[in-house]
Amino acid sequence: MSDDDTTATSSKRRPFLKAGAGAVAVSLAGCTGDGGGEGTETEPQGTEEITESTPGEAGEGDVPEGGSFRFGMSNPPEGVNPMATSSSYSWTVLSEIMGYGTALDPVTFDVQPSAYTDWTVENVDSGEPDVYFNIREGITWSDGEEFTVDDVLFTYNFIMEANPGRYASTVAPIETVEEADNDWDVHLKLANPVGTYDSQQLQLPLLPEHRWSDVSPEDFTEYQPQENTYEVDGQEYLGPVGLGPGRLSRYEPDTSVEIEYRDDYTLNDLEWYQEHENLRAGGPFLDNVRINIYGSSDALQQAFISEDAIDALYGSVLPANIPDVEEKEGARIVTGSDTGYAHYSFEMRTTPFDDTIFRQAVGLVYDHIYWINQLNRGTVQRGAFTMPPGYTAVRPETEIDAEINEHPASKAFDFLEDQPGVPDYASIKEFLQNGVPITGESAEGDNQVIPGRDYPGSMTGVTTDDMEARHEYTWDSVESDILADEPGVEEEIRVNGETITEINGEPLQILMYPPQDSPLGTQMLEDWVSKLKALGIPVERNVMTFNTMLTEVYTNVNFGAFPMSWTNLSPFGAPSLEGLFHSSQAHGPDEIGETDANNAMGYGTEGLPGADDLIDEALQTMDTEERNAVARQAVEKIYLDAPSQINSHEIPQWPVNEADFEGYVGGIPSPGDSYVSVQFSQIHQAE
Amino acid sequence: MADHLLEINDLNVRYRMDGPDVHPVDGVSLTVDHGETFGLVGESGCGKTTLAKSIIQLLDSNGDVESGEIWFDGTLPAWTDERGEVRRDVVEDPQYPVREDGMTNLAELSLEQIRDVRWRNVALIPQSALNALNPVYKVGDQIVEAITRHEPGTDVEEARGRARDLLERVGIDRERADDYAHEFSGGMKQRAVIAMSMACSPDLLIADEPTTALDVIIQDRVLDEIKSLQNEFDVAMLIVSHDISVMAETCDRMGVMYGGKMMESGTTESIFERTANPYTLGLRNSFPTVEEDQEQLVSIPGTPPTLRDPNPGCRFVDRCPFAVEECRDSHPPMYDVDRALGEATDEVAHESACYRLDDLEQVQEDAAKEETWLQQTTH
Amino acid sequence: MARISLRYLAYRLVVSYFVILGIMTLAFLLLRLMPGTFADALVSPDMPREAREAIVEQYGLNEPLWRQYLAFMVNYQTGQFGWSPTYGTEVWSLIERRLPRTLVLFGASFIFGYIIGPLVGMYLGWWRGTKRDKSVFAAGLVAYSMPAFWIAWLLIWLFNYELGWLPSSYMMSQYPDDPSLLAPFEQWTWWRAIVDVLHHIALPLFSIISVGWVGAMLVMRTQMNTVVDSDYVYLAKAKGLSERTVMIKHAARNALIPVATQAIVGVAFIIDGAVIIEYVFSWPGMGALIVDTVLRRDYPTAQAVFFILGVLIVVMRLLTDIAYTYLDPRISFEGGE
Repeated sequence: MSDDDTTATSSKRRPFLKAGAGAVAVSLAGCTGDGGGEGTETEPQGTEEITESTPGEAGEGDVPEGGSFRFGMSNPPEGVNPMATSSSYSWTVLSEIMGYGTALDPVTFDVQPSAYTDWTVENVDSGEPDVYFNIREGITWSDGEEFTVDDVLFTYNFIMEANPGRYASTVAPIETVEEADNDWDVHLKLANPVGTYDSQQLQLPLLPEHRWSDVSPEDFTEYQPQENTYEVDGQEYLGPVGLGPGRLSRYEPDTSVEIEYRDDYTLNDLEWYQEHENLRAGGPFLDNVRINIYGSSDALQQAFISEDAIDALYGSVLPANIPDVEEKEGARIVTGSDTGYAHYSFEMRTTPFDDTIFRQAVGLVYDHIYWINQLNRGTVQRGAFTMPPGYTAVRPETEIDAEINEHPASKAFDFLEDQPGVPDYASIKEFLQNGVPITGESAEGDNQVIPGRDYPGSMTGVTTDDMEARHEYTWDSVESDILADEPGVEEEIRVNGETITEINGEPLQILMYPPQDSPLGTQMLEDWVSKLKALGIPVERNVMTFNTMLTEVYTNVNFGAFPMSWTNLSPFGAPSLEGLFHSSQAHGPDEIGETDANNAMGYGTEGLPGADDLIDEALQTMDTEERNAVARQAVEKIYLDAPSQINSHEIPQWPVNEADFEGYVGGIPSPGDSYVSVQFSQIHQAE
Repeated sequence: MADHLLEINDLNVRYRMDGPDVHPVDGVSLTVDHGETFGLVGESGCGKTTLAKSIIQLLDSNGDVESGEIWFDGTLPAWTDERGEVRRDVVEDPQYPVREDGMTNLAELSLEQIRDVRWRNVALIPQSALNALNPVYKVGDQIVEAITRHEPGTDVEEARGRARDLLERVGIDRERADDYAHEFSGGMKQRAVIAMSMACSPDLLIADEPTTALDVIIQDRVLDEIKSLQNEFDVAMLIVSHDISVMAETCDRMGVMYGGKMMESGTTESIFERTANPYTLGLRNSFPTVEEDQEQLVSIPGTPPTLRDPNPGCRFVDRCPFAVEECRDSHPPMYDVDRALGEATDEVAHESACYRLDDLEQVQEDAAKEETWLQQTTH
Repeated sequence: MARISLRYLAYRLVVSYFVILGIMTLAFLLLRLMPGTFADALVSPDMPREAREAIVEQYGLNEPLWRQYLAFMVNYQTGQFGWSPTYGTEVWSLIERRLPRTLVLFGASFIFGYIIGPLVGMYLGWWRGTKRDKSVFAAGLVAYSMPAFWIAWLLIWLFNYELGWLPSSYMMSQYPDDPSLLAPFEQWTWWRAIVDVLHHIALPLFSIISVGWVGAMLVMRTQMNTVVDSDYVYLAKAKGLSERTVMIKHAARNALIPVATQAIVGVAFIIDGAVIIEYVFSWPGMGALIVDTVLRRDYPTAQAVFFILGVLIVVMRLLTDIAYTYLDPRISFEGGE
């Protein structure tokens, strides 16, 4: 699955962010707990009041208000029904219109107040926690109606009844929603502890009852909010109505969409926002955002580079066009961080991919230097853990305060070089022959298990399930046909005395995209395959025709290894880890060929290593700090078990017009797509 | 009124080719009198059709009149110039090629001027009249088109009526004017074209192979039709045919062409009675005639010469059983046959281009024998 | 006037109906023979498996193929085009707003292509062999062999990037202050809107026509050359008609008949070109829709687009037949066959 394919389903947008000093790359804050409710104690949080003062940090004057920001997309929004669409193009629009109970700080990923002022959780120990929260008074819907407790109750009840796919898992643990009978406004009864309740259950898009009460929860997908217009100050706007900063003023999904910003929007003016080091409170500062939809990505790129028809575009500039943007007057590239990773994953029910030491060894011949520096020219960064570098709270390095990506424990399976570009085959063979994997325990100096590489022990204290090799690896004469023709391959690996071709009836299969769709990936794979062969491992490339990769890996078992990318992972770790690595997301024995699952590797299934326990614990831990600690363990365990080899994280290259606008926020995840609403709240006309 | 309707003097037609130019009409002269029918006969490629086309400048784009005059005595009062203006002052125009007796040299008219002459003064029934009707227009409308073209200001309804009259005149039901050509039989198409040719009451009608492709019975009918129309409209005719028997039936005078040259010309009566040219004799042998019963048909051996590289002598010399040394040196001039036979008259009624005129009776006698021609092949 | 009887028309309509059924079946099968379904695009770490399965069920993707086919055929013939899973809207509403735009571009291209092509073909055929004929003919062949999108990019580069005269996207200005030939939006009258559309259609139209005229030109030129030597053209000249009248009224009028045959192929050719050109010029029509929905296996929408295009071609075919009877009186469709 390429990036483009997966981004079609974005995760939730967080529209409540403000930027401070413009386009300076934001330094990433460490993992600071936001003091979520501990145990059963009630500790109200986020009790800011709306202040009337103009935002801005000391020394900075007001920014000019007004202006029309032109944004380009290469795909049309697929409707603006927040209950029905999962399209990231739709949500680029909807994020400006819908409002939520809580907000997510795009820099620290702390959960902050928005339409709810404060919240707490009680009775965690009972297994059925009670969540209480207060709603903000005095704010209005975009059509001018007052926001009330009834709206909140309506939203929860509507979503629970309609159960749209996008929110099904969010409302699943909610047993009841009612007006609280204590000092709080609303009471949510959960069926089980949910560690991320404040960013999930408290972050549903809020629906105004007066506009949605006529919508049937059965046929909600057919509701077309844009046909439902409303008037404010004599101006007509299109639905939907929300608590967000904008109103839909034009909706021609084939060509253009316009969002006009409200003057009375206050949720970017809250205290946490004003105290933020990197965001400027009080936005949006623009009059409107005009989204132009182009017929092709070529047309989109040229609209920015050659035509000056747009001020920024959705996503990144194509690598080939980076020099054009760099040379273009008044333009520059804002970089950010990935929300996911590119990987090769292994079908763990295929011998010898069932053996942890084998999966680890395969990584040692993967030349990531070639991939990052030569093929991608530095537009990606090294991968190791399943969580991208920007999600520091759930990165194992945070556990010991180490630099992200710098600690030896995060480089355990990096390319093992003999000389530049050439793997140290002898050491890798020795590693496999010795049969002791990197387990998580210290393996330094004399105890090295990979000759030539020290491993200090895991940062979070986890170890693999496979403390020793499952198979015996030896080398003998070449027998597999696929290796016979290969120059310079003198020996072939034996697994328990048999060649891999004998065991499986075929060489190990590595799936690939058609070369014309993925030229870089093809070159990389060629390099990797030749090195695996040089190691004596019979591997065969298997080109998938367009759009068949998913079907192949989801409905077959013996696919070997496959490349894919994920984006829009949860910054809290556990929800995404569950979706990708939990055994519940793998094929059951009788589901093969009938269904599909994101955990195509079979990680955590019968007889194989897994991280189910850690993932489950992280999911249910209601204390943020504890939850993050468990998530870090899960991330590191997955690293050691190596069901997936994380190749790299993208460095988004977002091209913007800096001649007319300032305030762009760099350094955040996906600055030009998933988190573009942060930009819309910060961008202002150049002075 | 001048002496003749048409007077062609020493006409040379040239076709530009990739190689040297060719001259399908090479120094031909002839006259056609008012109301007279003149026949041009010869094998294909002899230049007769080219001559006919050159009268109204209908030659192919690579052909033109190199020299010679085509004097015409029709009334040419008006022509539309390039700007579409009607010019009625042509005769007064000092540039206009007109001589004292009122005849106009058609060869010197501009394309715009000759277009007004076409059909109005000189109509033409093309060689394959069966395909000459445009398939996408109604037959009647195609006649109307000719009328309105040459009589601007004519009411369309009136023109339609005239078109119907004309069709009726040639034996086609008036209502068929609204039919398309494909709804007509072959004979009907032929008659429709004949009717069309009379639409503007021309002075001269050129009928190019009017009977080819028709069966014998219809041939007769068509020829009768033409004759009858000719009488009615008092039109002179130039009939072009490879079939010498057609000449005998229809023409007052005739000319026999070969290789771009006029071989023999004169009254039809005289030519048939005292054929004075071996080529004409050969032609007569190869066609059945209505008047005389021939025992058998003998075709002239050999093929017509290519025009590309004409021999310096008589054009017919290679196929002529009567050729003598002299024939090879130069093409014979036209001799007055009557004078050669010692029957001189004031008016030249019969001419022939042949050096053997002095020996004419012997030649005629030998030509009647089949073996004379067969011998020739063994040459 | 047309020599088409009602009976023949009815017969043709019945045949056309079955042709369209055939097209639908083909579209249905082709789309499903292609690997993957639109549900594949829904895979993401935060899309629960159950939700995905619910969608699969909702659209009947797990039903046997014959049952899906049956439902499809029945629905279409009762005018139900269904719901687009990728656009989140009624398929018909997508088509309703996109079809007219395609018809504008396609119709204009067709009309211009088939005015320019035969006109040029007429002149070249009439003056065949001249230098002008040879050079224009060669230019036509060069244009014919170039991919339409390549010409499109060339035109965009020249008229938009370099000269800035013509817009490269959309069918009309999107906002009042869009750079355009025209004054503010509020003052727009219908004719200003038309001028705006003409301004926008210029480049895409020119891209399609620059290739689209050639086919008609080639046929016309050849036909003209045959017709020039015909006896009726000769007679028309003998009648004293002007060169123009002979060429247009007598020669070209007949040479046009085979061009009508070529137009049937030309229709497909221009639709094909329009698909690519819409994509390049962000022309929000059916072309962009078909590319997008086929790639994403949005069966309900892609099927509908195929269906509409099929109907379009069948209708064009019928119109061409009617045009035939006007062009060539020898052809009539009066019988039941």
